[in-house]
Amino acid sequence: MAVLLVALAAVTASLMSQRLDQDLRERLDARAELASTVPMNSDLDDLADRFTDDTIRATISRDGESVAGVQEPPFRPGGPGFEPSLDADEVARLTRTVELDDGTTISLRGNPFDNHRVIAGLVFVEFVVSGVLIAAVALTFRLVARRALAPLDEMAAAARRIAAGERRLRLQPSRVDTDLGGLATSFDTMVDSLDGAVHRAERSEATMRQFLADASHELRNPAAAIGATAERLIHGHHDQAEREALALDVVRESHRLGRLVDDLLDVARLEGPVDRAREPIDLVALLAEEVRRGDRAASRVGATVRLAATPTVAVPPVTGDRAALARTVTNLLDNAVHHAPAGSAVEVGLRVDGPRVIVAISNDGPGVPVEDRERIFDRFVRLDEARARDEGGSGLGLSISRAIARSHGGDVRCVDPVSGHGATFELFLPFVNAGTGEGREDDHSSDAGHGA
Amino acid sequence: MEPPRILVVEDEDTLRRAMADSLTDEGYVVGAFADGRDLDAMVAFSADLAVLDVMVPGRDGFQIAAALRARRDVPVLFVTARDALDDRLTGFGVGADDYVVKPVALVELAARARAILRRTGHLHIDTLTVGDLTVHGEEPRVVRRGAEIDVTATEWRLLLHLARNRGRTLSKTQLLTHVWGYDAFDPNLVEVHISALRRKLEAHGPRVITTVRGVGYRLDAVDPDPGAGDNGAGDPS
Repeated sequence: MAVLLVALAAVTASLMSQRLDQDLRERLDARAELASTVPMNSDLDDLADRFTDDTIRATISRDGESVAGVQEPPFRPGGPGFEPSLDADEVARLTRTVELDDGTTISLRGNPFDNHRVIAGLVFVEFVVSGVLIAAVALTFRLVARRALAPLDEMAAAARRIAAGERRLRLQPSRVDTDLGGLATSFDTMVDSLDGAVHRAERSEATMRQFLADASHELRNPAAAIGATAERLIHGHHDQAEREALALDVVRESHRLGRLVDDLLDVARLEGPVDRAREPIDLVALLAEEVRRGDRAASRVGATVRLAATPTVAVPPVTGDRAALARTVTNLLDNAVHHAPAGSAVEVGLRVDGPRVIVAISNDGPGVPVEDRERIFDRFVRLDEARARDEGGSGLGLSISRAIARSHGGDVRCVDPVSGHGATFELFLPFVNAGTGEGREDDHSSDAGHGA
Repeated sequence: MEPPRILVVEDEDTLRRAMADSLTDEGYVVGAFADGRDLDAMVAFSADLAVLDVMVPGRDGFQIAAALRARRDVPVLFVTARDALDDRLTGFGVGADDYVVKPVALVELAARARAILRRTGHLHIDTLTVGDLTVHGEEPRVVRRGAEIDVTATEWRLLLHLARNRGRTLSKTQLLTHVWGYDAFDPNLVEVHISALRRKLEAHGPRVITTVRGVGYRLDAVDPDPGAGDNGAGDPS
């Protein structure tokens, strides 16, 4: 802008200068014109006076001799006289000479220095005004910019405060349609997201700490049993058979301890990001295997495990980790067998309901009271403390089963027993129809042989 | 003198059996229960000391303690996996004399039980007499044929254990762990102390500690009557 103002000043000064100059020359010409019409024998001094003013000087001469008008001292600035810096051309340009018939010569000399002063004054004023303008604009610009960017300072201050611990703090801009408003809104969104993540991490940490405390308690019991039994082996007075029985106890307890450690590791692994194998699984085949295995195990306690009926409709494959799902089914079956009275049967049913497959495992045991049906999925919860512990249960089986089911997009629930008594657990798993996406449109809600 | 009676409540079968056997070996009469349901039977047992796990089905250990102590001033020793400060405070709040976190070595359990029973006056550890040897039960005093023998505390503990098991051979491991605990692992300790004991004891009579090759050591009674001319090494009482 300064450049513009300087250019403007230069142009106006130049134009003004030319104008004034032209003006002077015109006046010179006009006066010269007038001078040529002057009557003879006029008073020469009077004449000279008439034609002289601040900017034009008239001198009258006859035969080369000056006879009237101011002599020609040098022009001085500000007054009549002073011409040291005028060159010959300039002088010639501003001089008019009129020759009268009687040989009198009237010489008119223009004084440009007044004009110069005017121009100088103009330029000076222009510079001052420009300077003021520039200063004013700069100042205004500074103020406006600072005002406009103040929100950024606010944002920085807010960021520092949030980092220092004021987690609830947000910018909450009143105008969201401006650039800065949009930035502030994005800032708030980002802090919300991070705050949420921190919160989840803290909660997860607290859960983990609680879990570690519970786990260490659980580990103490088998550790104590092993130590105490081994001590008895040293100090007791036993015969060979008794010593072998004690040693067997030690072996069993250490196996129990090992299983508990395995379960704990599973829980820990499920807590973190899951690296799941993904393959299509034939649930019908998996269940058939599990039922065979479970039946063998159940026969030791006089119970049986059987598949209620082969499903009459095709069961789509479920995508997931075969070993993990087999584990889940094993857990649920073992639970059912543990609580099954001798001579009874544990039933396994498979059906398709909308976009999911449901595996239902039922027994005819003591059942689970309604108020406990969610609690049992918590870690280390046992409804029948002593018995479950002796039989090697870690209290983690259901918790692990649910975690595995959920990591596959499904769940495990303890539902109303099918036959009205005993307990029924259902494992839900979603399947994805390879060709048609979600299986919702293939609504096979027929009960594929779930019996009581 | 009736042996002290100890009530044990622990739902872990293996552990309960081990604790009961260990305390029985120490000479106590043990009543073992797997849960807190039969309070009447527990009270009827008339224990001189109750060793209780906190997490048992039926009543929890704290409730059992409160119920027992409401009837008699029976000392309580908690043996439990629960180690939180709150649990300990609750335990002492219901009148416990001691609170131990599992796992605990049975020898330590026995030592703590002994300490409590001694304090409450239920324990009279008799002086043991094995032939011509007298070993005091509560302080390191050993007398043979009228002579006071100067023994260290460790030597006394070793001798006492042999005396309690008179006529029975005890292995180095059994002796080592009984006197020095399970973290000591130098059977030489036993050898060294047995040698020292022998030197001191045999200054006053014939050999009384026998080495059984490949098995361990045995303390046998020696006839105090020097005129009998019999080593008495085979007296198994």
